Formats: sequence, structure tokens, C-alpha cells
Amino acid sequence: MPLENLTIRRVCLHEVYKRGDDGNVRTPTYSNGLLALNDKGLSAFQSRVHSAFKRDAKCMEMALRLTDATSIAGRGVAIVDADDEDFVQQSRSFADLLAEAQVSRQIPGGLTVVFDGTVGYPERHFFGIMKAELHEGFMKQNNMQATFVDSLFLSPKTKLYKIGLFIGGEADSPIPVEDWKPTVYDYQLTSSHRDGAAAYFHSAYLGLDVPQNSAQQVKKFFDTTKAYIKSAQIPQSDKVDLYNSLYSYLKTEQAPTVQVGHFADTYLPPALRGTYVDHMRRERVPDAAIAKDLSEVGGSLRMRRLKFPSKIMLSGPPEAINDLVDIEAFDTPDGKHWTRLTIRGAIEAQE
Amino acid sequence: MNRAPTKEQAFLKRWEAERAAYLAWGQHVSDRITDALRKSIAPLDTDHFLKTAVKPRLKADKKLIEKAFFRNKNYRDPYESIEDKVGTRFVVLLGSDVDKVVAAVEAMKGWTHSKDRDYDEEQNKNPVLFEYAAVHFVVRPVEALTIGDVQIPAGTPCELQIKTILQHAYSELTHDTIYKPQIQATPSMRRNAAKSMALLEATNDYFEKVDIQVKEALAAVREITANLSAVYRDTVGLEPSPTVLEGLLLGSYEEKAQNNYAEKLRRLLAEKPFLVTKIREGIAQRNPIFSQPSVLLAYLDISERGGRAVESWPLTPSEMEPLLNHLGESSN
Repeated sequence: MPLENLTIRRVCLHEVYKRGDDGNVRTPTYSNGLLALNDKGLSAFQSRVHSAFKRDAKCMEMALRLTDATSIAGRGVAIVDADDEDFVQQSRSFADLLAEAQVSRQIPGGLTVVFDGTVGYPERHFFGIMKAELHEGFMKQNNMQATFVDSLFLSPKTKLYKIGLFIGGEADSPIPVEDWKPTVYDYQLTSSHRDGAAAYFHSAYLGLDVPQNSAQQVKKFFDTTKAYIKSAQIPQSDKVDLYNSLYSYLKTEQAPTVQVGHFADTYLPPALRGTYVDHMRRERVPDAAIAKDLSEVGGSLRMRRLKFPSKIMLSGPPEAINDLVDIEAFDTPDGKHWTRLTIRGAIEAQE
Repeated sequence: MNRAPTKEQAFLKRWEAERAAYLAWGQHVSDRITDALRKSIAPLDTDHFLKTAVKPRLKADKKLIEKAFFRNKNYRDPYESIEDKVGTRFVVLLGSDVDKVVAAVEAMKGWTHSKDRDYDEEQNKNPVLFEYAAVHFVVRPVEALTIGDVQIPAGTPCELQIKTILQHAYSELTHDTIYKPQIQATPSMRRNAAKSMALLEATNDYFEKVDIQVKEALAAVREITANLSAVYRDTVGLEPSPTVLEGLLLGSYEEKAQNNYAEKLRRLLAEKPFLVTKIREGIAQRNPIFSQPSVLLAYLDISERGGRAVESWPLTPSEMEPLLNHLGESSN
């Protein structure tokens, strides 16, 4: 879900800690003012946000569960309208809520970064909450010595941050809290080892759920991708490979999400990626990751079917077709389109 | 007892009094021609076109006296007859560039100009001779003029030399600083000088050929830049200022500038007018990338291919990051 025309207006940092040995929340350290960044610093901060929501980033559109005035959504919608002083003051509660949501001592501390601004065209209001973990590194000094530091955050390649981004209405037409659109970037949410570890951020803290309609969206992803492969200007035998890839992407890959950009980059030849992504966008399949709920496509995934003239049909489990069948399309000398099938196995039965 | 001044003293006294006017005229001539060139060679700049600094030079007293009285010139009025008391020089790369300067001089209003030397003419007259070649003019103001607080009388002469850098090298070699007229050039000296001049003339011919070939090779790219500049001007509302970066970017994007790219760009900028704002901001922050017409092709590529556009970007990914960010993408 690329964030076009992003303008970040205000940023405020607070620090939260992991729970004490007694299991109690440790009071966060609050900032007294907005974060002042020069042009270069602000560009770098924006670049981190973009990197989390770019076309092929592992971000996920979510559903709002908590929208009352004490929830993150409720507070966030209010903070967008606050003046700078109130913004700093009200953003403290975001740190308090995060500290409370981090119920386990396994969860590290870090910085709560609350920011707002506008995005898209026409411009829409948004607010975002980032949890940025601190990490270690070295800082070069002029005399070729170095200082060890353990308070770095947002280094570009570390991905040690999670972001919840809530997008609202156009600048002069506010919309109710319930209509704000939340998207979450969290490596743990979309990684193949998704477990309770991620839930504290998007669920307990941000009050969001993995959307209920994932099953429909996955079905749409599946159908729309099939339609794309069907109409693609490529040889039949390449289409066989692409169908095989689509089945194994949904069925055998361990990742808990499916995503247009990820599928394109992993399975499609470079020449097709752009038109595929455009096609999916035209058909309104989300750019963001979708939770892999296979309940509506399960049946279609069990059997893969290839149809030939005169009702000749080859069908079988996708893995078997992938592993045991070679399908080769070729043209005869007199210009007819034929297919050569090689099945690694004997005929077991026939009627 | 007062003795009447010698003719040399009288000459120098007058020169003393008028020297400032000559220098001002030489400066004025240098400036006016440089200005005229600036317009005719744009977008190339004059610093690049003119290979040496254009600076008026007054003839030294000793040289003037020598020329006036000791070189058997037999001037009836030496002071008036010597027309190169102040001179200025335009050195360019190619013979065809000399023509551009000549055209600028001949188009100048308010001056008279007489061509004292023209190598084309001289070579036509004597096609087998290879020697000093340049175009010389003497230019004079038709009416008296005042520059700053200096009065320049009508008819004040300034000698103008126009030559290629190769011709200039030859004249540096054979310049009269050391030899003439004290020593007689030997046949061997003259033969060697003629050989080098012949070689320089042939070299100029090859230079011109290369120049034409380069221009032909660049024609396609120039046309793209011209088309992109038109879109840029219409949409951004500013004049693009292509630099060497433009060539670098087009080296990568030339292939993408196909079919109706100009139309696609206009559509992209109409759908996403904020890109225009971002370009203006980039210019305000003095990022030269945003002044290149081909920055538009980079945006088009990003809009079509997302973050993978970085594969075609000829500079570093971090230099593309702002453009990527504007369309919600990132190279990180």
C-alpha cells in the first residue's frame, strides 16, 4: 500500500521499557517537545515509513476492533486535531498504553514514535505509531576511533520497528473513527513463525484484528491471478509453470500471508511483474499482505485441471502434477498446436 | 632651455592621454560580442565555447614605438595608422565556431568593421601555402560613446582576432616574442612551421567530422530532451536546466522514451499533481536531479514498476530514494 505524497507534520518520541522483574510496568520516559529534525533527518524518517508500506512490503490491512475514546484509534483521531503542545502531551498516553500492552518480559523496550501528517492525493489525514527497538552499533570518530552505542534506532536494514498507520478522511471532511483505515507493518505479523509474539502490538495495543474477510480476499487473489495467467501473452508451457507456482504459493508455502508484490517478485518473470501488479490493482486486490485464509479456495486447490479438445482432461493434485507431469506445447510442421504429456508412472487403471 | 619633444615623446604623450579610452573600448567590444554569442550558442555557455578568457590588451609602449618608427612601415600618420593599439581575441574549438563569432561581429549595430585578414580568402588566393591563419577585424564605434566615466571618441579602433585553438597554438609557436625581427627565419624553420600548419588544418577537418558524427549520434537523445523539456515547462512551470546528469539519466531511460511517453507523462502529472510540488521543492533544496527534464521519465518508470525502477537508475539508490518516496516506494 504505497504512501504517495506523504507529508509528515509532527513527530514525538517517548521511551518505554520492558516490564520489571516483579512484572510491573515501568513508567515510560516522556519527551517534552516535538522531535526536531533537519531536512535530511526528516527524509530518512520518511524513507523508513515508505519502506514499510511500499508495494511489496509485508504490511497488512487490518480491521478496527477498539474505537472508543481510550483506544489508540480514538486517541489518534483526536490527536490529529490537537495543537502542537497538546500533541506532545496526548502522545504520552500512547507510550503508557504500549507499556501496558507489553505483558511479557520477553518483549523488549523501545521508542514509541507518534507522528501525523497527510498522505495521498487528494490529501488525507493520517496518524501513525511506531515502536522502534534500540540496537547496538558503532559511531566513527574523526580520529579513526569509534564509539560503541546501544541507542541506535531505525537503521535502514534492521527492520527493528513496527508501525500502525491509520488513514482518515480528506483534510476538510472528517470521517468517523470507525471509517479510518488501519494498516500494520510488523515483521512478526507476516513472518512464517507468526505466533503470540506479534499479537501484543496489533491486537492488545492498537486494538486491531486480522480482517475477517481474508478468505474472500484470498479467493479474489487466486481468481484474479488465474485470469491474468490465462490472458498473458506467453507460451502455454510457461502458463503451466505459472499455474503450478500459484498453487504451490497458496498451498505449500509456509508464510501466513499472501501478497501481490511478493508473488510477483518470487514467481513471475521480470517482464510480467509490472502488468501483473497493474492488473491486480485494477481488479482491486489489495497491495498489502492478506492473511492466508484458505477456507474459500480450499476446494479449488485440491485438484488441478487441464482441459484439451474433445473433452479430454487431465486432473490431479497440484503437487503431483508439478512433480510427475511434464507438459510441453509444440507446433506440428503443418502448424497445428499439439501437446506432449509425459507422466512419470504407469497406467494404474482404465475403463 | 626647452627642447621641442621628439616625435616618439609626442606619440607617447598622446597615447598616455588616450590609453584609458582605448582600454574601455576594447573591454566594451569584448563584452558585447560575448553577450551576443551567449544568445546564439545557448544552451551551451560561453565559458565552454570560448577556450581562452576574453580580455582586451593594450600594446606596450616599447612595441608601439618600434612599430611606429622602426619597422620600415613608413606610416604617414603612425598614431592613426596603427589599428591594434588595443586588441582582443576570441579562441574557439572549431573552424565552424569561428564562423559563429564572425557572424556575431558582423551583426553588431553601431560599429563599423573592416576585415583585415580572412584565412578562407587567403587560402583561396594561395592554396598551396600553409601559414598563420585567423580572422582579423578592426572595429570602431560610429559615434562617440561614454562608458562609465570614460569618453570614447568615434572611430577608435580595436583589433579583433578570431581563431581556433589550433590556429592559436600555431601563432603561439611562431609569435614574435623571441625571434622576429631580430633573427631571420631559416628555410628549415619555415618549412617545419608550414608542416605543422598543414597538419593543424587537417586536424581541424577531422575535428569537424567528429563533431558532426557526435551531433548525429545525439540527435535522438536531444529530441527526447526537447520533448521532455516541453512537458516539464508546461507542467512544472519552470525552465529545466539540463546538465551532464541529463545525459547520464537518458543513457538509461532512452529505451523507455518510446511510444507516447510525452502523453503518458502528461497523464501521470495530471493524476498526481503533487509530483510537480515535489519537483519544485527539490529545486528549492538545490538538488540538481529535479532540474533535469528526464527526472520525469524516472517518475514514469517508478509509477509503472515500483521499487524495481531502481534497477534502471544510473545513480546510487539513495539518490533515487526521494523520487521513490514521492510515489510511496523505497529502495530500502
